[in-house]
Amino acid sequence: MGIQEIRETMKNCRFCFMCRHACPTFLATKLDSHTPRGYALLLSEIDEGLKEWSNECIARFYQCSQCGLCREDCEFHWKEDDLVRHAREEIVAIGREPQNVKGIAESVRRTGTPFGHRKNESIGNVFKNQQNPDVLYFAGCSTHQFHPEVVQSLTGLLNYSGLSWTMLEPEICCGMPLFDLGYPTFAHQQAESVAQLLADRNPRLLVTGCPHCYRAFQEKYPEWGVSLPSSIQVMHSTEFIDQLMRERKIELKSKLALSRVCYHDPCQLGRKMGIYDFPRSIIHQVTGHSPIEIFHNREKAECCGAGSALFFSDPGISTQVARVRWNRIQEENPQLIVTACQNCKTALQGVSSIDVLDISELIIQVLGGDQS
Amino acid sequence: MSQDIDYLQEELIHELEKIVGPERVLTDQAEKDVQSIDVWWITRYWFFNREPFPQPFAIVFPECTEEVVRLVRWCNEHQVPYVPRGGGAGDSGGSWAIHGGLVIDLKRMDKILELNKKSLTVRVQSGIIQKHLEEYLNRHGYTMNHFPASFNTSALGGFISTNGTGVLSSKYGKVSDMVHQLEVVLPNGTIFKSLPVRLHSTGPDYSRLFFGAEGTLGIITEALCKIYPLPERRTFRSFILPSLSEGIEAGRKIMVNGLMPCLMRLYDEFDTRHILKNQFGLEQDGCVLMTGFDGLGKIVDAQMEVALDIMQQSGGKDIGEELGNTWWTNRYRSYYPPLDYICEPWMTAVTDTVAPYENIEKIYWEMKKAVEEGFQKWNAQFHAHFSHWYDWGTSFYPTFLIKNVPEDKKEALSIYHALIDACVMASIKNGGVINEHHGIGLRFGRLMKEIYGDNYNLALTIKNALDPDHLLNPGKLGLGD
Repeated sequence: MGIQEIRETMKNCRFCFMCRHACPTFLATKLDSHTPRGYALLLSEIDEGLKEWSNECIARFYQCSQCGLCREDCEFHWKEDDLVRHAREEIVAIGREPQNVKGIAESVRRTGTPFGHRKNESIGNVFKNQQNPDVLYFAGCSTHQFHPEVVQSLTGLLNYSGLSWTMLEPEICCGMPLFDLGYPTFAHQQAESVAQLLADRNPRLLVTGCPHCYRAFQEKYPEWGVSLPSSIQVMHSTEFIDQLMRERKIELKSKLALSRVCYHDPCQLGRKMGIYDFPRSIIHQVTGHSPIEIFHNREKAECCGAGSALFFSDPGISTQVARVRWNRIQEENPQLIVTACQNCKTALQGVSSIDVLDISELIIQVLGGDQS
Repeated sequence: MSQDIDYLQEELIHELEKIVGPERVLTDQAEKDVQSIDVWWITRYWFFNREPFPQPFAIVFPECTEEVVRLVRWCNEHQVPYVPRGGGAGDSGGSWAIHGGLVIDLKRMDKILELNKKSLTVRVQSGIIQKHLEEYLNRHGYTMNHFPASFNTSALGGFISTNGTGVLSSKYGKVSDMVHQLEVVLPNGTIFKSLPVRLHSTGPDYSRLFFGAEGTLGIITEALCKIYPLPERRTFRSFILPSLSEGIEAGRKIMVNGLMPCLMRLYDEFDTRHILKNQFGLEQDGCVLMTGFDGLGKIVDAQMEVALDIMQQSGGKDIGEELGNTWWTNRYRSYYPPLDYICEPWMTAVTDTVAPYENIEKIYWEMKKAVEEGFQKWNAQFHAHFSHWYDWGTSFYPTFLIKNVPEDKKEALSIYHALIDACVMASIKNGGVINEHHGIGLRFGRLMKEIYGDNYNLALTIKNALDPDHLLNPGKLGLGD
C-alpha cells in the first residue's frame, strides 16, 4: 500500500467513529486512541508535521492486533490494518520500535525464529529434510515454541494417512511477523530463504497449521514477488484434514461425545483468508454436531488478542482482548473450544476455564491418541 | 531537581489513582488528542488550522456509580472542572474540556444489570454503546427501537444527555420516551434516583431535568429503559409526491388519523437526489416520502392499507417496497466516509428544527432562503429531510454546506456563526424550535438566551443551585462561563 493510499485511508478514517464498536482492542480498553479513528488521527498528526512520535503514540500502534474487523465492519472497507502496519514501518525506520519488538527481529536475524532456534524434538529425525515427499509440514515458529502437542497431532495424522511427509530442519520464520511488526524488507529476505528451503525439498503439498504462515505462502509471497515452485500446492491444515477425511485416508470409527463445541475463527484464517467451512465440517464429523456459533463469528469474529504478534508486543493488552473474546464464548456455555491457530490457542488458554484444542488435536482424540 | 515534573499534578493524579486504580487514570497525550475532536466542524477546523486544543490534565474511567461519586467529590474538594464523556461523538463540542480539568469517561460503565421480561425493561449502566445494548436485546428477542445515526458509536448516557432521536421515533419517540428511571450523580456528590416509573403524579418527574442537559446538571450513571419484543413484521413503502407541500400534508394526515408509522421520512428534492438517487439507487426525481409500519402482522397490514389510501388521495406515486427495504438495511451507509461530509474540510452543520404543522413548511423555506440567498457568495447549499413526525407537527433535518471555505480564519468562523444564527432565527421567528439532538453544547449554547428569552433564567437558577461553582461541564448549553 503506497503512501497515497495510506493518506486516503487517514483522510477517511480520522474523523469517523462508525467502527469503534467492533474494534477488539477498544472493547478491552475503551480508549479512543485504540480505535481505527484514533490510529488514523494520530498518524495524520505525524504525517502533517503537527506532532512527533511520542512513546505513548508508538505504544498504541503496537497494541492493535491488525485483525481487520474494522475493515470488515466498514461500509467502504477502509484498510485500517494496513494503515497501522504502515505506521509501524515508519516507527521502525526511525529506530523507535518497542524493545520487545526489536528483540523479536533480532532473534529472527540471529537464529531464524522469533524465539531462538530449537530443534523439532517432537518428531524423529527420519522425517526431516526428505526430498520430494507428498507433504511438507510447516509447523510455524510459535507452534513449535508453545504447542508441541499440535505438532504431534498433525504429524500423527500424517502418519495415519500413509502419505510420505517431511519437515524442515531447521524450520525458520516465514517472515509474516516481521512484516506485521514493520520490517517489510527483512520479511521479504526471510521469505526468500524459506522459499529456497521449500524448493529444495520439492513437496507436492505444503501444509501448515499456522494461519499466519498460510497467509504468507498464499497471499504475501506472491505480493512480495517471492515465488514457490508452481508444483507445490499450499493448504492450511483444516483444508488438508478435510480432504483426508473426504478421501477416506482418515476414517473415524467413533465420535467424540461432545455436543457443545465452540469454534473460534482465527482472524488470519477466516477474515483474511476466507476459510470458515473446513473446520466446521471437521467438528461436525468428529462430534456429530455442528459447532455452536459464538455470537460474533466467521467474518465478524472478534480477535482473541494474539493477532499481529500482539501477545509478544504487548502481553497485557493481548490478555485483556482475550478476556473479552472469552466472555463472548462463555455466553454459549461450551464444553470445549476448538480453533485452528496456535496463537489463538495460546491466548484463549490463558483466560478460559475450559480446554482449548487445535482442530488437529480434536481428530487425534477420536482416532485414539498418539499416532506416532 | 527536575523541571519537567509538575509536583502538584503528580499529587492529584496519585489521588485519582486511589479512587479508580492506576490503570484507569490516563494522562497521555495520544488519548487526549484523539478525545479532543468530535463531529463538530469547529473541532475539525481547529485541527486543519493547527490550533491547539483545550485538553484535560487527566482522563479517568470509573466502573461503578460509587467511583463516580468519589470522583465528583474529589473535583469539588480541589475545585477542578470536570466533564462527563460517553462516546464523545456529538457534533457541538459538548464533551470538550474547554477549561481543562478532568474528563470522566463512562465507557467502562457498560454493564447490563437486569432484563425484565414481564414489564419489558432493561436496567443498564450509562456508558454502554447503543449497538452493544441492542445486540444483547436482540439475542433475547427484544429491541429498544432506538436507531439514531450514531447507533454504532454513541453511549446511552450521551443519547439521554442530548435527548436523542432515532429513525423510528415517529412511533417510539425520543430517548426521553424510552426511559423510565434515571440514576444521576449530582454535582454535590450525592446520588439521585428518580421514581421507578415515569408516569406518576408524585410531584414532578425530576428525572426530566437531565434529558438534554448534556451533563451540565449531573452525571447519568444508570437508566431503566423501555424495551419491545422484536416485531413480527416491519414493512416499508415509498411514494413520490408532487411537491414538498403535498408531502408534508400527506404525512400530517397519516399522523393525525391515529396511524402509528415507525418510519416517516420525507426528502426534499435535493436530499432525494443526494441521498436516495446517489446512494440507494432510486431513479426518479421529486420528493420521496418513505413510510413504514411494524409490530403484529395484522396491525401492520391494516395500517398500511389506510396509509396507502391517504397517499393515493394526496397524489403520491407508489414506488413500492424496495427503496424502503434497501434504505433500512443500509441506513447507516450515508454516515461513512467518503459519503459523509466529515472527511472533507468543508464547512457544514445540521440545524434540526421542530414545529407544529402550520409553521413547519414556512420555516423550511425561510431557512433554505436564509442559507442559499444569504450566503450565495460562498455558494452555500441547503438540503433537508423530515424524519420525526408527531400528531401535532414534525421536524426536519437540514444540512448546510460550503465547500469553498475562506482562507481567512476569522472570516470563515464569522460565516459559520452567521449561518448558524440565520438558521436559528429562521426557525424561532416563524414559530419553530431548534431540535438539536446531536448536541447544543458550544455550537448553540450562545443562542440559548435568545431562543428562550427570560425563561432561561430558570435554567440558570437550577444550574446555580445544583452546581454553584460551575465545575460540571462548564460553558455548555449557554449556562455561563
